[in-house]
Amino acid sequence: MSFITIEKVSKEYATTRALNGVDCTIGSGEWVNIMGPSGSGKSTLLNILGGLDRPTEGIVTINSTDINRLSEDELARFRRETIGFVFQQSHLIPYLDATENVMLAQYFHSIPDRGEAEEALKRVGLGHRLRHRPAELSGGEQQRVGIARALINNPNLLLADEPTGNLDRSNTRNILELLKELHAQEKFTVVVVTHDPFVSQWARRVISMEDGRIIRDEPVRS
Amino acid sequence: MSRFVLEALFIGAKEGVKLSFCTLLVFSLLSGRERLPLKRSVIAGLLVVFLASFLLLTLPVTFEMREIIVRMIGYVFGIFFFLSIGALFHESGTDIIGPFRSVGGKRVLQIPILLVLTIGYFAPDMAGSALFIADLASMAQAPMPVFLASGLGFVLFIAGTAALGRKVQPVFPRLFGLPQVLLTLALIKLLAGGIRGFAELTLIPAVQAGLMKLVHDVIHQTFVMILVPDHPVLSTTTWNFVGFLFRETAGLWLSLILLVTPLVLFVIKHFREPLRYPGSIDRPSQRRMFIRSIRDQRLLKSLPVLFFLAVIIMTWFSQQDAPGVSLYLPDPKPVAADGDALNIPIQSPTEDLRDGAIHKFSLLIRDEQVRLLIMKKPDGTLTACLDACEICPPDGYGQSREHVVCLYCKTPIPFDTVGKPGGCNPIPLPTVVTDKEVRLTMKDISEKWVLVKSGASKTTVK
Repeated sequence: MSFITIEKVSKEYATTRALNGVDCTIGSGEWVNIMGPSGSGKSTLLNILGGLDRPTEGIVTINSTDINRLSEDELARFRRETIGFVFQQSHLIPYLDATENVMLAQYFHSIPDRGEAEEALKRVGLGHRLRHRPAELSGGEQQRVGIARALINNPNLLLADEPTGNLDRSNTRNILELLKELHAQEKFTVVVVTHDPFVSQWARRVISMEDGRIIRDEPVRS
Repeated sequence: MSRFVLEALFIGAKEGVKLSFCTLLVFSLLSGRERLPLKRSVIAGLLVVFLASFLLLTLPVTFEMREIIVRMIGYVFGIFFFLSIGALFHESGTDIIGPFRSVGGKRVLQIPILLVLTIGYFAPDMAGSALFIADLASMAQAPMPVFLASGLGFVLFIAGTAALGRKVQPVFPRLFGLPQVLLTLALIKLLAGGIRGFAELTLIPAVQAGLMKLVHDVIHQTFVMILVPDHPVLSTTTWNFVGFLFRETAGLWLSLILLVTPLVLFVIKHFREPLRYPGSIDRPSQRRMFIRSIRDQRLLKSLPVLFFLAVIIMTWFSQQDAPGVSLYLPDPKPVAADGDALNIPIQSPTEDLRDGAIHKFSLLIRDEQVRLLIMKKPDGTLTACLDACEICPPDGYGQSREHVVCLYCKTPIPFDTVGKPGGCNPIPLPTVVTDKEVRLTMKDISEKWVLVKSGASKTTVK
């Protein structure tokens, strides 16, 4: 049974058609990478999957919930209980330390728990950086905090938009290895948007997009 | 619009708002088809109340019946208050019902219980207000506009509150469980249970008076028990030392504490209740979600309790100077004894001891002025007492409606307990009442007055 179902999804902006009748299904626990050049519609699709944007046409069902039918409040609740986000920029709050940045996600989800947040940071290899502020962390470490923050509420779906776009090859490998390890442990579904072919090696399936359409959908040979 | 019509309109509106809001509140607990019989039970109770109120208007109503209605309102407040406290503690984990739990859950019992509670809750207010409207109508030049105004106010405000209530009713289940509904009903009774029109909108002064009397008597009896009975110095000194406990302010504070303590204890217990996690929780985020939902639920269900506390605390002391509670203080009329006999005529050209007011008399005993109090009790008998009590300095009493009130500590004493010894009651005197006079003896009067002046009455006058 598919975890995500995308049926004839289109998205139009004033003068642009960003998505044009996209159909796709993603199974529970799958790791799918969406690739394509700039303007191909991959980030738009990710935003729609994350409930950050609504499609002009079409249906998006996640975990049996048609997210287009949800009110803003219901959608916000669905997002915080089901989805974790990792962005190219880690978007950490500069005046909070690493633990507090993770606790912030707990706060908006339910209640903060410092012990649990520290444990999550230790799992991403930042046990020695718990009290460090973002400015005192390297780019790779900041992204690790971002991953800990995205996963702290045990989401069923992790959406990552160019998660390694700001990192060098070595850090990219580390981050993806970390994600792979966490994915194997917790079995959440991963959708990664990237234009970097190197990142595709970690996925089981790659969807290629161009001009708002899926042009290729194929498994990755390990 | 005459004052009578305006007052009738207001009373009708007040009863309409009360009835519709309380019904909406109760119905929010009784949603769903399976609870339809319980809803019908409430409706049947309301119909009985309406019929009884109309019927009451056609019957001759005695003073005693009116007194019973007034007391019933206070008792109903007490019943709902204690029921709500029991239910609050029961809901937060204290097993109050025990072996009766299985019995209480049976529909066959719930229906009559709900019927009785509905009638018990609404009947005294509706009956009291109906009688007050009838009184207003009898005083007005034309009675019909008074009746029509009350009916109009009643119907309009029932409809208005019901329409408004339907919009807010979906919120009720989040805020009100059974205990919160019971407490809110008690609060509504307390704030709007007065049945004397503009002169007495709330029940707070009556509840204050009852609680203050209770506090006063408990303190008095406690010290009577713990003191060495006949110690001439220690006893009197102690009474003087603890005298502040009998002051009006102390009585008000202690009665407030009596009222709010169970609720404060509930709030503390409610928030400190340990969480019992369901077995289905296996992720930390689910555990946090569970804690959050329980906290939210506890906060929401505590809001009616906190609101009750806030309203009580805000209104408790503001009622002290409420209009309509000024005391009737007649000047003592000098009388003289004939040897040992003191005979006071029941009827004279200027007064009648049976008129329902207190009557004071003064006489000299060993160059000291002694005051007496004579009044008719609700049962129609005349009683004579010293104008002093066993506890306070002998400042005497004033009259506030159906109470005598101690001028020193402001404790109200209901008329029907005057003539009984103890507490802050006026010290009773052996009395013989004939057709024409009240007969007392100087021996009795002087004996008890001496005890009052020496302070020894506090432990020896019985």
